[in-house]
Amino acid sequence: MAKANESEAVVACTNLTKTYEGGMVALRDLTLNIERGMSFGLLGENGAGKSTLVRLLMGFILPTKGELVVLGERKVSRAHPRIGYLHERPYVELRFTGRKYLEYMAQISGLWGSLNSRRVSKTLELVELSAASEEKLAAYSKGMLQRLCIAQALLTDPEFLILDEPTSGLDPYSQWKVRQIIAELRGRGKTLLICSHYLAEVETLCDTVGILQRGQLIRSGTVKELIHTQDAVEIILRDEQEAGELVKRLHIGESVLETERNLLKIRASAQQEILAALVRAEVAIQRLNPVSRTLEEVYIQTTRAETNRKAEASTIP
Amino acid sequence: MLETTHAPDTRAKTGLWRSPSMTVARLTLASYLRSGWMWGEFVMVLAFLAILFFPYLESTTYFNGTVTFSLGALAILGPVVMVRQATSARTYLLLARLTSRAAYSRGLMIAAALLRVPLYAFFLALVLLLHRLTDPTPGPLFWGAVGIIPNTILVAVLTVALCSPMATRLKRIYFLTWVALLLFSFKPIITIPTWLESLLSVTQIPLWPIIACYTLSATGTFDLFSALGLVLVACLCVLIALVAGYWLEKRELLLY
Repeated sequence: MAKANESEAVVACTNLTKTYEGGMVALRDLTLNIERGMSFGLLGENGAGKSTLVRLLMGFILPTKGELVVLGERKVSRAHPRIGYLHERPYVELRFTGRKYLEYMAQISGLWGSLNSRRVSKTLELVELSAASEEKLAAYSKGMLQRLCIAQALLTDPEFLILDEPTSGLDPYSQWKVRQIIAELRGRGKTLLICSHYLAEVETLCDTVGILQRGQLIRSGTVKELIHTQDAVEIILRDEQEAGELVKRLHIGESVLETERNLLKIRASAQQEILAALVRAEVAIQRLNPVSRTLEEVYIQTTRAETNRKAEASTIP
Repeated sequence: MLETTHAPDTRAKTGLWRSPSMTVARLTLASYLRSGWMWGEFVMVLAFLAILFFPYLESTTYFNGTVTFSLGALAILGPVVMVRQATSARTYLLLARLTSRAAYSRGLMIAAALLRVPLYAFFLALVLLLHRLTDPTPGPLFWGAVGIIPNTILVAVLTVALCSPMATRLKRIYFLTWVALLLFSFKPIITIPTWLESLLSVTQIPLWPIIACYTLSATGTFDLFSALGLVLVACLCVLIALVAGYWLEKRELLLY
């Protein structure tokens, strides 16, 4: 991703490295920028470095090397009042009621008096927990706790939200509800960083993604770019013409990836040549589409390719 | 949706009560109360009362002397439990709201310190209500309180500072080494050269304000020595809070 001006970027990491005690390298030379208003999805398998990056962004741990600026602050904790943070697990003080807990959290953020109660009520309403606000948190379901944690992240109406596994382990309704809230926040122009294992969710909620593997950013870009970047084009022939026969007749087999009834999947690089051949043969074409992949396919291909590349590199004497 | 006022604009700057440290302290105490552990400390006071004041009646001097040690022990045990409870993965959500982690350690210290006052009051009330003192005169009891409470607060503050995540294991080992040397300086178990004995007596210096406050509670006589002791205990508490805050700021926080 292109390096942007730090003042424009909500997050600007340059060559960020984190080595834990014992020498375990969790992040290696990570350079990443998250621009204002961006909804950034951070993907990666367990141990890829996502949680380490989140901890660094929140200032819970310190980088071993490199630079990190969050909302223009090098001392990250100074930016805390402008960040909403959702931990990967809904750890809260279970002995309080939902309202009492949020009131305390708002007070710690400097919200007092009528502003405190208004904000608490509004966020409870937003996450649909108003009715359960006087119940003890110990009686909440996991989905309710997660929504409460989202509510605490929104108390100060922060400009940047870090959502670590926002729908992990939730039932389908709660997942849907949380996604609705996130989509609404995105619609309001909030800058979001979403760490998730649910790739379909990231595809829907994020405009940009980064894939981490063993502490390195192996791929990043907009979701549109990633799911459309495939060296393949789909041609659908009109009048149910048999694609397989056509390939044989026109001798274009080398550039064809796949045929199925009237569908012809070809290499994008051979698109002009094959179209010319089809026009010459007066073959009617119904539609031509660049082949889209799901983010899941992009993720699997990218991570596998990187694993294979590293395996090959390690076998070269 | 939410009002679009950003947090920094809405930050209340209206005194100590609304400071982040004080809010952390209130939250910690509320959580400690609801967990039941706070009642545990009061039950311990009952146990100390039973051990120290039954079946015999005792003097105010005896009360002031024994309460310093019993509440001192409680000022170690209670804050250890309190800090242990207050520092888990859920602390991340609190720390994520603070611009300085030091506010969190200060909050824990305020909570631990504040609780020493009702515990002392409870002990005193029990002793008086059950008529366990032979000479319950207000003067010695008042000066006793003035000497005992700061000492137990200092112990509580120090205990919080030495708990994880403020102090590392190594720092706790250093502290225990100092305690060992201190005890050895009072009563060496082997014969040591005089110069070494003098050298070891240096370890007693930080104890001086505590001794001054203890003397105040034991004798009930307020003089320049005890006044200086009280001021120094307060200064030590502030110093420990600053050091613990610095330690916490510098630490890698991996809480589970």
